[in-house]
Amino acid sequence: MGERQESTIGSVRAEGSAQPAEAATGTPSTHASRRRLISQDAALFGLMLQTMRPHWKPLLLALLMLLGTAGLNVVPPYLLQRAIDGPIAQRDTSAIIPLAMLYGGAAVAAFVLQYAQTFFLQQAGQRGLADLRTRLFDHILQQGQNFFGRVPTGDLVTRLTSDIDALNQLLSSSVVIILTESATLIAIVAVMFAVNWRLALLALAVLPVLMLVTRYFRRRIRRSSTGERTALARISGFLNEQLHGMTLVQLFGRQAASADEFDDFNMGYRQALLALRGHSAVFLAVQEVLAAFGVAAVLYGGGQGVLAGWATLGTLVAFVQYTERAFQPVLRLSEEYNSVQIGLGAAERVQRMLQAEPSICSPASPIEPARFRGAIELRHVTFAYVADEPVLRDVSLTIPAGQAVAIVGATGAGKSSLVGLLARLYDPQQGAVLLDGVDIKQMSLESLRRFVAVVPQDPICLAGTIAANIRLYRSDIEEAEIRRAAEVSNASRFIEQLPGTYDYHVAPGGANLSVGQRQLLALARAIALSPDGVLVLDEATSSIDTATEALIQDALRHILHTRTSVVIAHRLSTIREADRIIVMHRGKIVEDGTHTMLLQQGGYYARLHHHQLAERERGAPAA
Amino acid sequence: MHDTGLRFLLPYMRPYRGLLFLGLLYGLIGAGASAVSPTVLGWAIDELRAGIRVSVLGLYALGLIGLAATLAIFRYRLRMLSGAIAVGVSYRMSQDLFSTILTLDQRALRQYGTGDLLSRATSDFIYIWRFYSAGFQMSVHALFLLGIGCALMALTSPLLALVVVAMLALSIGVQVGLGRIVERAFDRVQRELALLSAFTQEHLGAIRMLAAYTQEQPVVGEFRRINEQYARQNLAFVLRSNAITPLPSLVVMLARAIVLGVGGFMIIGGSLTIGQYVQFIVYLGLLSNAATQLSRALERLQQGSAAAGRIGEVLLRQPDIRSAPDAISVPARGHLRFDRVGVRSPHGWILQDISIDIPAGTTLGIVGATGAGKSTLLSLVARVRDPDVGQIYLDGVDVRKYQLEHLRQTIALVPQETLLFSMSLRDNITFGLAHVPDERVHSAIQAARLSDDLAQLPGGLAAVVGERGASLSGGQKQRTAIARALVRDPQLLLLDDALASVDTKTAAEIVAELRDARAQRTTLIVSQRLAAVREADQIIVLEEGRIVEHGTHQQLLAQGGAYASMYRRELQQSNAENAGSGK
Repeated sequence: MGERQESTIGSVRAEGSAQPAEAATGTPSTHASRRRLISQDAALFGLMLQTMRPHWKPLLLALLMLLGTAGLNVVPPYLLQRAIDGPIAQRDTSAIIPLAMLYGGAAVAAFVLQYAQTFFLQQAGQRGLADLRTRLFDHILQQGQNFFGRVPTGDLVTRLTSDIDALNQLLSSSVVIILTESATLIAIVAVMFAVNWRLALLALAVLPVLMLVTRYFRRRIRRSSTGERTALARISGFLNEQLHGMTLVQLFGRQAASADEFDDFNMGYRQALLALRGHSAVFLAVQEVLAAFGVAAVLYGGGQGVLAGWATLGTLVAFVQYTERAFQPVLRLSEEYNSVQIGLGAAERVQRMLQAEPSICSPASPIEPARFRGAIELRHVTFAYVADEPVLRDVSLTIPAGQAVAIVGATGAGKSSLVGLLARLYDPQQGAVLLDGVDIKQMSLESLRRFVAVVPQDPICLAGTIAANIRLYRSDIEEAEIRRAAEVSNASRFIEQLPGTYDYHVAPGGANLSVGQRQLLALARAIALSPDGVLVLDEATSSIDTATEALIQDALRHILHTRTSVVIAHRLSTIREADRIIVMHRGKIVEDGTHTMLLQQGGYYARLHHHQLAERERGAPAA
Repeated sequence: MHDTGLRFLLPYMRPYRGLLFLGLLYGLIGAGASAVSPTVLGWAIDELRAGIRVSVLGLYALGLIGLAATLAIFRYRLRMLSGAIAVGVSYRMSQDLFSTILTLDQRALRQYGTGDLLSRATSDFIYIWRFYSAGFQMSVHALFLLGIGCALMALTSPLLALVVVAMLALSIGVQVGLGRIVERAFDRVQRELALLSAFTQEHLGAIRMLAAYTQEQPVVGEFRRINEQYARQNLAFVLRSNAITPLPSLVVMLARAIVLGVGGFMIIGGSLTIGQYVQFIVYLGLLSNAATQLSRALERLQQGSAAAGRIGEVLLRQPDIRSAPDAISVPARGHLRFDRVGVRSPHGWILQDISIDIPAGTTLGIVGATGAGKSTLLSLVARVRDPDVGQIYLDGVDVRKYQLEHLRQTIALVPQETLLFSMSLRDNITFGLAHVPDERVHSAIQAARLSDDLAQLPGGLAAVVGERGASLSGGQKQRTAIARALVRDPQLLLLDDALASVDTKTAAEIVAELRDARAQRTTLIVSQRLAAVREADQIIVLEEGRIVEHGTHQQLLAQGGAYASMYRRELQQSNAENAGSGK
């Protein structure tokens, strides 16, 4: 007894050492958690039920076996009593062997039953939770862009990994322990009373005391263990910051002050550890003494019973063992309290995430145009990320199929929002976006996005081959199409110089490619996945090395004229390629026309152009 | 690995030699009391059969309680004592670790990575703590208990003692031998979990692109595959561990069955009393617990010494960048010269053949594409890293010959990524300086154009900022970093794209302010925005680690190369903004 106690300190972090701060927040104060237990119970129960319902048969089987195991736990001391009072007292050697065999048999049966129970439970539990995890991931992916803007990726990853694992722990370990130990306790008490109620009363007299003591100490231990975790979270918070800024600390010569600060945190942690140690050591000592009281009571009272004839020696011996065994459930049940809290917290977070409604989804019966031509229309579109702060105000625009449009304007004019609306990453609050005369809300997302290809400003790469980065998960795109897309976009120039060319392995986040190369790859991807669709391109503003930049410009010159294309342009050469130029300012279209028309208008675009010319005459000859 | 770990732990244990000895004594008394109690119980039962007076029976009961009290008291003392040693050792060790980390150069820091160092400084100390608090304490208790218990059993009945010891050995053997299988299964679970996390992280980060090409369903399919693999490994682990973990206690139960049978015959044969019989049955439980404890304790000891090895490895680490033994202090006029400087990375040259002369009090502008080597160039001056080839001279002396602290006192580097610490704004600005007069802080704030923001910040200079404090805008953070550099009034000011998040107008004001104060200060400015460098005395354009253009603004424009085209693009953008607002 008690060896489990030794490991309580620090055991929480065995699984989450990378983010100790999180472990600390995982255990809220007892008050808050109690309130939560009451309010959220129904919803959580619903989630569990839903997850586990398909697996009810193995679960029921496991439950029955669990009850069997608890029953078998009670058998050995009883057999011991039978041996002492029966064959041994009567000096009947022939009956001893069967009893010993029965004893061994009960032990083996308990082992087998317990394993079988674990087998069925885990089969069901792991399946159910794997399904829940996939369901949650699917649900998250269905959310609109505003969801991802709101919830940090780290949170989502935690939901999908540690939270589901905590649920797993709750179902496969805590629940089992609680059920087994409760059933065992009930079985022991029942057997003790059935065998000898007077001795049972004596033996169990100490249990209520143990429960009270446990309650008292658990609370203090929980409090001091929260203190210890908080202290550790403080240390790792401090260290995290210092390690990130270590170069600064060294450059600005702050080592001594940092060391002093660390000493303070370290001292706090030291104190917290000692406090926790003190509480648990006293608790363990009290347990040891209480256990002895139980045995002593059985010996003293039961001894008198033996002398007086209302108890047998075998009963006395069996009760010594029962008394010790009865201690375990009380202690283990209180130990599980923390894991149950953590598990319920996780369940609640998962449940809440599952309740988030996807903001953008395909209509029930989508209109599927037989063939896309690529005519775009915006009808009185008003759009805001945050209510009452519209970034697009009543914008109307018609782009005939095959036109190349450049959008020009200052940062915050609403250019990127326009792009997001075309691919229905967002829905406008007012007005509609039409493709070939059909409101895009009435199309399936799949066919819309297969036809409208967006190349973002800072393109993303996944870990995997170049080919996989171009085709993504579309297995229907063949090798030849990938190569053609790479050639059209000029990406083939750099790909063919990589070792392994299309099989070259891109590092996570595209770390082994330059910004420009990632841009080319994104362009190739758009062409491969949407060979004759609308191209929506957000040109990079950051500096790209001159050679790659030339490749991109060269590719655009060709691509823009083979399809409808909308480009947020930052480079004059790109603007020049466009059939039509749209100038945006503060969420509105302020100028719209060809290069010549806009020059004649003498407005914004003309001013822009004149500046450029003037600068050229002043210093820089043509590039 | 383990010996190295112990090698690091032993010196820290030396002050506690007396306490460790005392701990052994406490352990002996506690375990002795615990080991004697089944014998006492056995005696009581035998006397009960012989017919006993109630008062004697009471004495036996009291004796059991007394023994338990002795155990409780001495084990409590042992626990507290080992806790005190644990805390003392891990406290001193973590102080030493942090002091070492404070001296590590950037290369060493990058090699370890923040996460790795963090886990060495937190979770590894939990293992050290457990090495003593659980490992030492539990193994002392269990060893004494096993020893005394076995001796007492052998005295009572050598035959039964042999059975018990044999079965205990079997039970320990099962635990140790099969434990490997469980460990391996657990490692596989961890590997799958890492894959799952990485997949989730990457694809959720790329969600915008995946959604734009409606790749959600195939991604969910891939997720399901990885997830199922994880669940499979998890199941394999749980099933194995559930088959193996209860095996030792099954062995003990079987041992009891044997004792029940053999003992029964011996009682009837008269070579054993019922009391002794009970004594053996109780011992089996007690000693099998002790055996379990011992194997856990050994695990803790092993984990602890492995952790000590990981910590010790950092403690031994000597940074590459440190003051030379014969280092000199800095005269600091600020004349900087790069002489054929080259920096290598595993993927190739980051900088190659860089030679520039920057006279004291002048300004160098550095421009170029992302990844061209601009930040690396600045980091060489402050010796954040050293060049692989060539020299950097400050006032004619190689920077490596100066005292590191002195060199860094004359330099202020404002890095590209602004980092504010969770402390007051004032402490962030006077970072690393002691007793800075308020006027100096205020003039730095003024020069960094932070005064107006200060008025809006609740608490002003005392407001706590950083990740856990008040949130500042990107521009405000960068201006705080600039104030941090200016308050030191450095001889050399290195700005690494330090105005990127500051709006154009304010940036221009700060640049002008710096120019005025620049009289005798040498300044190196890396910038994406050419406006910040156009007034510099000389400008270099870096491309793939080489200087491709070098001259003044006018000269470079006239060359019509990379600089000129960058300038045109920037002009177009700024015109876009001007023209827009001019409407």
